[in-house]
Amino acid sequence: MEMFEKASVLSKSLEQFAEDLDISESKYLEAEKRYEAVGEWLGKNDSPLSICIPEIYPQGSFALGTVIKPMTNKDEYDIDLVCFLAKLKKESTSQSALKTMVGDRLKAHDAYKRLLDQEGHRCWTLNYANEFHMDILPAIADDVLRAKGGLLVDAILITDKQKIASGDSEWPKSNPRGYLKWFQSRQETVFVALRKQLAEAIKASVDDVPEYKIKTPLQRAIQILKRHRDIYCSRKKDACKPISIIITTLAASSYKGQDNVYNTVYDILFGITDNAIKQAGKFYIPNPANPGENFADKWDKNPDLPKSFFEWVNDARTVFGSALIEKVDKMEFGKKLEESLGIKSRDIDDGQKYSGGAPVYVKVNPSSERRPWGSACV
Amino acid sequence: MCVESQCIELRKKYPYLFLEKKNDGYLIRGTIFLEKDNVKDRYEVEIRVVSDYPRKVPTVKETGSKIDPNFHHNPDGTLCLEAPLTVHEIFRANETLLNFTDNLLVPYLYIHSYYRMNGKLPFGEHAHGAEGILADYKKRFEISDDLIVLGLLQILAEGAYRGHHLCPCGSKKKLRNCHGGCIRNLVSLRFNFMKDFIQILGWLKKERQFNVVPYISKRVKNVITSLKNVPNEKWTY
Repeated sequence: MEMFEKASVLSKSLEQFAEDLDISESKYLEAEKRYEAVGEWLGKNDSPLSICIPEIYPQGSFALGTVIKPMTNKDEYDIDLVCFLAKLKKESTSQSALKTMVGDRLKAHDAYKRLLDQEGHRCWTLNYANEFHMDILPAIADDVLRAKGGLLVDAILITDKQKIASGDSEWPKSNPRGYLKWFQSRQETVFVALRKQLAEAIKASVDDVPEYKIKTPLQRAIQILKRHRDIYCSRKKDACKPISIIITTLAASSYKGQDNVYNTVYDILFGITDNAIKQAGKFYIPNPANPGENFADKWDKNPDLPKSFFEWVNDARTVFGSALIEKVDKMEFGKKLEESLGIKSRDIDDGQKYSGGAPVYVKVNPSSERRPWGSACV
Repeated sequence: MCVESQCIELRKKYPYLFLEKKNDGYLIRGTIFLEKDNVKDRYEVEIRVVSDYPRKVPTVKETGSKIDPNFHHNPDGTLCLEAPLTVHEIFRANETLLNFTDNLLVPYLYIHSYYRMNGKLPFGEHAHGAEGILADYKKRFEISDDLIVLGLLQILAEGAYRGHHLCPCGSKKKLRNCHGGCIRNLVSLRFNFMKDFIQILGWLKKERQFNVVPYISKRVKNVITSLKNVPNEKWTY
């Protein structure tokens, strides 16, 4: 097999793995429905928050389209949400007041009160058993940063209980929406092309294709790498788990519009060099939407973090690098990937048989009383 | 809806079915899990969707060697889900893979599981070949006489329904006041009754030494000649 041909076969396998790792469409829509309902509750006319015009929007992997299935059926999906109070100003409130306002409104709803977990440092968490954790992050506008324009027009201020307790009263900054815009800009060309392609295939207009239905090779590659990290770290107990935002940021920064998942994974992994993530001798992975923030700011103080990170990168390089491309057939790719990603390959067993996990039994339609026939003996 | 989006819809309910593009259409392969009452079972299947789908109804092979080849198969090894008219009736009502799977394939698989557990079929079965088709028409017309059914079927096959003609059932009433309603319902299904008609003629001739000559119009003759030239259509006359 030619090299490029192999890459495309491999890419297909990887794509299937990523598809299987992705949140299902029904779960996705379910989650969307759930958080929209929370948003509605917070902003209802009789809600004390309504004058602040609250808005709920997703952040993190759910917004980026890089969610992956939890490791076991018992684990739940993490859905990170921002509860943004547009009209509340920093000058007229405090971190604890903001946090309490949102928490009190959630507690005023019978069901949410039951689902509410213990108060987190920054978030309120709703636990939907066996389904999702919804982390709700109270936030207000960061008017100072917003005035600078660009991606910063979405900058927010958030609360941190721990920081306040330690005597630091400065509001922590964040910019999840700006980050999402940056991420989208990294994959825009490919995204637009794929969306058009799907629209044509189903004979619909581009606007009728919901954005969540499109998955670019960048998103697929991130899903694969995150899953590999989960499996790798679950086997290597002493490793510090590389955080998703670092993987995502490095991946999206290096993405050059590759149309194939395998090449994307490969280029990401081999693009991570000491040089690429250091500045003036210090680890530096800036938040593209918030230049003051360094995702690797703890690395210099805690050398285990970069050590674990590079060990993971090296392991991923052996899995997705030459070792994989040398394997000749689809079955062997499949087996190798099964081992590293901890899920079943569709290419093994001809890929077509159900393998493991809880099967979905379909109820036979009770009104369908069929009598089989045979044309065999005329 | 194109086959891809139909398959997306299908996979929401049957997540272990997978779509493959082939030169002459698509192949949907995978596992179906089903349950009803005491029956809980799984089957490996291969659903073939040819390029002129939905004009051609999908065909299915069972690939897990669970269903005995003597249990309601077609000569080409595909599963014989129901009598052709019933297949047509159900599939034309909603030409989607989900409808096909829900209302034809899964019920067939259920019947097989039931049969393996209980040694009998839950809703009975059609006799094989033309005999089964004839019996099905008898039931639809609520008539037990072979010849009368043949007469009604001839009207359908020839597309010759006229409300003022006498009803072949011997009631001496006009068709529109007798079995006409039943015929018009069947006409509205837009099914090709000619094949069934010819098959039944052949069977009556062979098994009942029935004189079919008066039924062989020019049109029927032409269809028989053309069918004889089609490979895999092993019909006898």
